Amino acid sequence: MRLNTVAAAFGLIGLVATAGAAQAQDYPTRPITMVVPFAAGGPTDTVARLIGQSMSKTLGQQVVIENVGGAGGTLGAARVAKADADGYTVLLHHIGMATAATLYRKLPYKLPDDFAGVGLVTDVPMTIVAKKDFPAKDLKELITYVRANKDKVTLANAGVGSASHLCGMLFMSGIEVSLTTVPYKGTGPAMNDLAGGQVDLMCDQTTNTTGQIKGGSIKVYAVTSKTRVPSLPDVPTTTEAGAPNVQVGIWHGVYVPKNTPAPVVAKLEGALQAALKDETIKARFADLGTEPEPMDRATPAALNAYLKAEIDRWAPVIKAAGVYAD
Amino acid sequence: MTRLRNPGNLIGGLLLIALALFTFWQTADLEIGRAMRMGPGYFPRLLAILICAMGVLLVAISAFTPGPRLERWSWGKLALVLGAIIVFGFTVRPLGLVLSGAILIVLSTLAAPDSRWKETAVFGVGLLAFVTLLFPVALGLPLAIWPRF
Amino acid sequence: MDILANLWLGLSVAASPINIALCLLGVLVGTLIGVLPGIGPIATIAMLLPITFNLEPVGALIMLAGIYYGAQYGGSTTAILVNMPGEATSVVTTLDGHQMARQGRAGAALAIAALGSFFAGCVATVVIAVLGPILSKVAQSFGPAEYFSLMVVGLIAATVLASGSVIKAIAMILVGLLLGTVGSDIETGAQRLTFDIGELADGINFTTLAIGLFGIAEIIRNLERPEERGVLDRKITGLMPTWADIRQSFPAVLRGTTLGSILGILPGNGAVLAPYASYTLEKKIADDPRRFGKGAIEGVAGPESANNAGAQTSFIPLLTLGIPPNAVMALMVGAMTIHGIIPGPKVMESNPTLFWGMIASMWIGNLLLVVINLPLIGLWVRLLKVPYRLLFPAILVFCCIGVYTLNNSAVDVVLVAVFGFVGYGLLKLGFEPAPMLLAFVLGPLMEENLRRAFLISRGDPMVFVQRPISLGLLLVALALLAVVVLPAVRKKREEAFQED
Repeated sequence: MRLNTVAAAFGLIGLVATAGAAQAQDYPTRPITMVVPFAAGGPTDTVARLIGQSMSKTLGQQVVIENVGGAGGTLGAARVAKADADGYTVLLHHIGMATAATLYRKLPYKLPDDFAGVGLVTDVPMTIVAKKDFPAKDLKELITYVRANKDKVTLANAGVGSASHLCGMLFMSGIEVSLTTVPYKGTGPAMNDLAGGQVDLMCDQTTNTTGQIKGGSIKVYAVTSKTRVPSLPDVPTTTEAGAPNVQVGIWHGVYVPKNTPAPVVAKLEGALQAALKDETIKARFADLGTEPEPMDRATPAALNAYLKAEIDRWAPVIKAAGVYAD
Repeated sequence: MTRLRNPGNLIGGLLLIALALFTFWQTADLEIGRAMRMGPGYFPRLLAILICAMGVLLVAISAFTPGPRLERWSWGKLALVLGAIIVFGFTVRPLGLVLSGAILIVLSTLAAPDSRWKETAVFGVGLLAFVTLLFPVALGLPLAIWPRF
Repeated sequence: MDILANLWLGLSVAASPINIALCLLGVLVGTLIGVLPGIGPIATIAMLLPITFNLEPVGALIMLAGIYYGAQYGGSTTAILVNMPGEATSVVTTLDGHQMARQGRAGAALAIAALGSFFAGCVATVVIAVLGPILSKVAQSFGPAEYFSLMVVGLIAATVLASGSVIKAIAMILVGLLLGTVGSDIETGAQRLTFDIGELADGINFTTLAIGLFGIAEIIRNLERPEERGVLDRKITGLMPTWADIRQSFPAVLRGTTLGSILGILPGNGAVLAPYASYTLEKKIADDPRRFGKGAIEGVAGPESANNAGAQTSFIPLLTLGIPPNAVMALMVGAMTIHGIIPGPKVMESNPTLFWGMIASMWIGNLLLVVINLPLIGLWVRLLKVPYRLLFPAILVFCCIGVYTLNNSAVDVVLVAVFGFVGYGLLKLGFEPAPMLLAFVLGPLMEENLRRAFLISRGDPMVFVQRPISLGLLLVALALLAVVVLPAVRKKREEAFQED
């Protein structure tokens, strides 16, 4: 028998006045809903399920994942923005949280004001990859080639607002060239056409590319993180390879609605930090080609500041590309 | 007024034309582009034109070929079943699975020609117990079971 | 002899007691959710993912795969008994399967579906083992131009799904295509026909549309005509198919299996076409095509076999290329990554026990399914004896819960009611919804790939005829068009003459 069933049954017969107004000190007294604004099974969902499972142990209450997909993650974020600020509804979202501020001209919530950060979770690096018989040898050659053949080279992405779309925009603005972008619905079909040689280039998360890189079906030129990625030790960073302004990671953060009581946020922060120290989480993240954020980044202050900085950073890039999602 | 020869085709055709016009109106602000470089509005409007053509064709045919007479609509049953579904959609979150499920069962049973309420009550309790055990409990779907106060 | 050794390795993995138990659990859960209207394998697999954290990766994937193909089996049961397709692939089964049930032959329809699926599953397993790696490379040469041409073939075939007026069928196909355009534009992100409803930004969900058009409309129709429904719970003739049925079905099963195995390999979700292709083929080569739509057993046997073969071979792109061809396979990718296996072209070499274990488990799973399902037929058929006044509220409850849990939003539930209304109207005006559903599934794929092909070719329309596979498919489409249109024209003329 689940606790919430029992607790709710009590509520029904009027023995417990309100569950919503439970004292912040007792928090949590019932299961916590973690909203993932994407479909189940994707990389963000995987991160949420790993983190949620570990946080359940620390909090002593089940963290239930609720997938509220749609509209580039804005539907799920809107639901959390409107939820009670009691800590029982939290949001796990990635970089799309910040880019939505520019990509969507009519958002049903205010960014960053409607949310309070709990902490950063992980920063998944991106890889610049190409079809396996692409002529360039390294990133420098690639840039020269792309500039010389900008009418011929095609750049794939997984749809408006996706990680690969963002990285592609940054790549093009970073090397000051505009390519024909070929959009797909999701990473799977985009990767299929890249491996099949139908399109030339893509920039996507290590989560999606590592298997194909190791299998030799696509070619890798650089990772977009500050340091090299342990699962791809031979691949240079963009800074090493000569494109220092192409630096991007798919960072994930946990949020609660604004005005959530500080003790509740602190409890969630503690649970998040405990999860990030968990050895199994570290191992799973390594499999995904990423690692947990250090403790000083898994804090409300760090996430709030980072969200603001990222909103400001992406606004000009997206406006320059002139692509909006609504 | 003379009876329509083929009301199914006539009404169907008129509805198709209406759908086409509606689509045109709704996609008015979408960029069309060219066949080789389609914009977001190209495909929907191409379809609207073709749908309109089919509508005109059906209307034309209805003038020349006879068809079956229009069947009567059971508006009452339609409203009850569809209403029950809509009420469920809006109540399942605030009221929880058990209460909104009960409302769904009661409202839809009103549409049955041969309802027996005692039987429905017993069956409904069993059904709700089954779905509660299956979905939120066993499968862990994020569905509230009881109302939250 | 490599293959024998590999299959032996796979069997030794899959036949361990724990893995057989997981496989059984998977197919049982799959059958259950497949039978319940409105609940699909996607939601179930997503919910069960965390439970698999504590299992060995091979066992976890065996169980999840079992849910997937178990749900395909179960889905046909609901399609036959209550005319409710839960998946894109079981729409065709409703056409003749439910008609058979209305004629008191639900048992035969269910049995032939199970036996055909079993046969197809066995063959498809061998196909994966023997040809998988080679075929997947060929399949990858399918680019946007080829997929576009394939979708054209599919759309022309869609007209064959209707048994009435061709003009009405074409109108339904166009409306289906239009419904498919609802949502964000893939290239620019512009909102098309979404009426500022955020939930529509990702398009209309197939389950929502299918349940409304078929299921809800059917319920209201049954309620207004209790006497027609009465046929269902009276005379039920024989639970098993007769020898004549089997003789009639076997060639259809063979053809369906072949079609399904081929289409399933395509990484762009070719499996979704398999049952439709099979139905079109059966109807076109039948001596008397008029039987179709009125309870022709080949119309159940062929598509069901194609469906199951396609479901199995759609694991090929996932296992050999690391590319998920549909939403369920995307979840399997999630499951693999959670277990530390990064899907990619190397999985077969780096994880041979996983690869061959899963393949062998599919054969075991199919065997379990047929063993479970044949005795269950009696139970399912008896379900039809439950008075309709109790059965239909139960169906509604399952549909509503299933649709609600797709995105945990009320909008989807409301849409079911809207499409229920549309479906009822279509019935009343003599339009058939099946071609519309197929067009709805194919439309977005067709538009996307057309635009993508033009982007890559810089607007050169010659790509469609310069690439040999694309050209071949377009020629097939032309031939099919001739086959479809000519008899229709002839019929129209005959009708015209009769009138004079």
